[in-house]
Amino acid sequence: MSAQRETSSTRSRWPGVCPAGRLLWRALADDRGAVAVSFILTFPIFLLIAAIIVQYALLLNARLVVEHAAQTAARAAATALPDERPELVLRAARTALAPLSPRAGVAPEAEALRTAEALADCGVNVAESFADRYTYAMAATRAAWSGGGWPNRAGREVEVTVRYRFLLTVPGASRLISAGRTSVAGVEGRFTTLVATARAQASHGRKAAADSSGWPW
Amino acid sequence: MSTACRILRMVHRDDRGALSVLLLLTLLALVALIGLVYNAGEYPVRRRHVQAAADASAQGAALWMARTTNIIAATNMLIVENASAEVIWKSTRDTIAAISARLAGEIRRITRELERIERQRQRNDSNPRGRDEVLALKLDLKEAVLREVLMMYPAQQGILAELIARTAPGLAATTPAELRQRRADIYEYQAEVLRQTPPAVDAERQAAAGYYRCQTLIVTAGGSEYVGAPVKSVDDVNVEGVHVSGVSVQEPDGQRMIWVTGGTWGEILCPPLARFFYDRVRRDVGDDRPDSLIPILRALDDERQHVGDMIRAMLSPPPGTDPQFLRAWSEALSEILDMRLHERFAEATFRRYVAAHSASVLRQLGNTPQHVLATYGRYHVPEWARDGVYRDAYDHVYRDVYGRNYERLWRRRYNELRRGGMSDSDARREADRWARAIASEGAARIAEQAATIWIHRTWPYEIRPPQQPVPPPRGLPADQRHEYFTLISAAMTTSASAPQPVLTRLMDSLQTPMLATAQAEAFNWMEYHGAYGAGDRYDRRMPPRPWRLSTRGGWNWQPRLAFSDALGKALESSEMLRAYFEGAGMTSPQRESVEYLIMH
Repeated sequence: MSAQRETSSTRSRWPGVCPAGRLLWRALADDRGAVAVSFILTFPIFLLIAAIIVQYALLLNARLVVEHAAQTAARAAATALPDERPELVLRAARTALAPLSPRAGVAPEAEALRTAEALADCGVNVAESFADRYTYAMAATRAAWSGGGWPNRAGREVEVTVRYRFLLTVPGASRLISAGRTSVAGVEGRFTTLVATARAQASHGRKAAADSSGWPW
Repeated sequence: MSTACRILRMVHRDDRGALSVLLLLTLLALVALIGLVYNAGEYPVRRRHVQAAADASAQGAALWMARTTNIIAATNMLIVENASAEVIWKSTRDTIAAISARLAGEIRRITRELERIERQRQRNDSNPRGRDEVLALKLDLKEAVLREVLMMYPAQQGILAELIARTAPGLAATTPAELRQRRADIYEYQAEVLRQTPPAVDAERQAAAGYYRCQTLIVTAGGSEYVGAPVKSVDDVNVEGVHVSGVSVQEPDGQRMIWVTGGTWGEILCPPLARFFYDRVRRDVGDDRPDSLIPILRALDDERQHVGDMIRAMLSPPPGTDPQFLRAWSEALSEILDMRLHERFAEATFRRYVAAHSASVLRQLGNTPQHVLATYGRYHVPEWARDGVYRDAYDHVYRDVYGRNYERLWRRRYNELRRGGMSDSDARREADRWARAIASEGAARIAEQAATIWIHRTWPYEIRPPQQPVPPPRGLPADQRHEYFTLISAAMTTSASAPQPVLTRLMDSLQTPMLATAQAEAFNWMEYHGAYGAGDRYDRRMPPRPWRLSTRGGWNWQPRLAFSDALGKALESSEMLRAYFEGAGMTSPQRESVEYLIMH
């Protein structure tokens, strides 16, 4: 009944207009559902922008952690290099980056298990996933430092650079940052390399000779 | 349609405020993200802060350790310089006395000789059998030369007067007793510096704690909170030698037992200070100093050499001298040279006194309390070095015993054989064979006894000899480095310095205080440099001479942050340090695990 009323009413309002034209006119004149349509149209864009914001926030967070790892590694280098324990520079960086890392897709490395075990031995509440995350950090982290011959050198500045393969986890946004998919420690996905550099004053090597500025003898 | 359905339909149709909801959700998400990033930045900043507090405390404490050790080393040098001054003082006094006595004695002797010559001349002139012309010539020559020599003594006495004038102010300014008292005063000053070091370390710790607003703790690797310099006081450090009185050896082709005398070897007077003491005395005596006495003494000796040249020139017979008078010339020369008026003796006398007084002053130094490195002590020769020490000691004792006994034995046998009627050449050959056989057997047996004692008794070492020859051939063993030269610092955040995370309910946040540790040490980089006193050889007869606290190389102690390889040991020993770890969430720190986790 109501449909019949509408049809007759429209026809009487625009005599001579074809039915299709009348339908289009009516659709344009009626603004009901406009919000829904505009929401459907803008939501993916909004979602993409939100994803990009989240991804960049996570990246910023990761950058801070990598910088912290570089500083930790630099502090380790300050004593470990002059005292002939260079392997600890990388270990310091890995330990700092483990909480940032995803769980590795491969079996935990011995070093990861030993670290988790040592932490647990000391009474630290270690997450179950720590060894897996540490294993990922082992594969994803590189550390390099300036100079050499530290045991025989007087205290000088050491510059430590840490590179970390960060897993981009936000769908869509990750495509904008990294083009290809690859695998790190059994973790498939898109990655970006974060680089941080830190400096520290290395300790005086025990075997360092005097400089030429007149050490007493 | 129910009321609820109508309300829902109305809300659905009403799109007012839809954007506000979206904005709110977006803002909430943004706040959460900002919180995440802020927290991620907050923890590393606080972590660096607390690590800086630990590093500063450790470095500051090690600085005081190094500073005090350097003060002790420097003042030990003052003690040695003072002792050297006593040696020079006594040697100068004795040398002046000896030169004065000798010159006066020689003048008296020449005067008496001239009187004797006069008497001989009178006897010769009144000889009823006639005057001996050769004798007369000889007496004339001698008189002429001696009078000439006598004329040269004022020059020597002038040099002696210069020596006295040069040294009188120094000799009058002090006495050996005063010098000894000054050494005692320096020792007391050192003791006071050592007493003041732990409070200084603690003040340094408190300053760092205040600056970084953290709790801080400093302990030694042994767990003690009393951190001082690696120095201790010792008494009576003179080291007795190895003594073997001698052995009886059966003579070859005979029945007699012949005694081969032994001796004492390896006595070390005041080992901690001997190295620099001898160096200092040598430099104080040396002629490279502007105020050295040696040039004056050499001038005196040169003057006496001129006397010798003059004697030889005057007693050289002129060409064409009648051969029967040549004897007069040669006898006159021989007799005057036998008076040793031309002998160079002043410098040798001074050096002889210096050697004698050096030994006595050094012995006295060894009997008085002194400050040495905390690692100094009497240790056994390490197992790996015993062969080397044995060989070195054996060779040294063998050569000494053989050298001292051969001459005596040879003379004894030679005299026996000559008395028995053997020809001189045969007696020499036979005495040599006999003395060689006995001296070598006796020396071998004595050397064996001495070397065996040598490797089984303790000797003074400044640091404990390493248990393995390599590595390291130089430097402190790790356990001694930890025990005496190392400290551990710990810093923990307080409410003023703890991280201030946001959205703690929304995010997993660290609630326990942050802890950082650091290890520092006082070290001497010269430890590894042979040119500066290092290069200790443990496989030699004499132990390495201490230098780390008694030479100029010994006051190069420095602080340094070190790899924390003593942290595990300190954790076992220090309850306070364990409490710090427990406060930071490590409820049961195990030594092995902690040592594995140490990264710096």
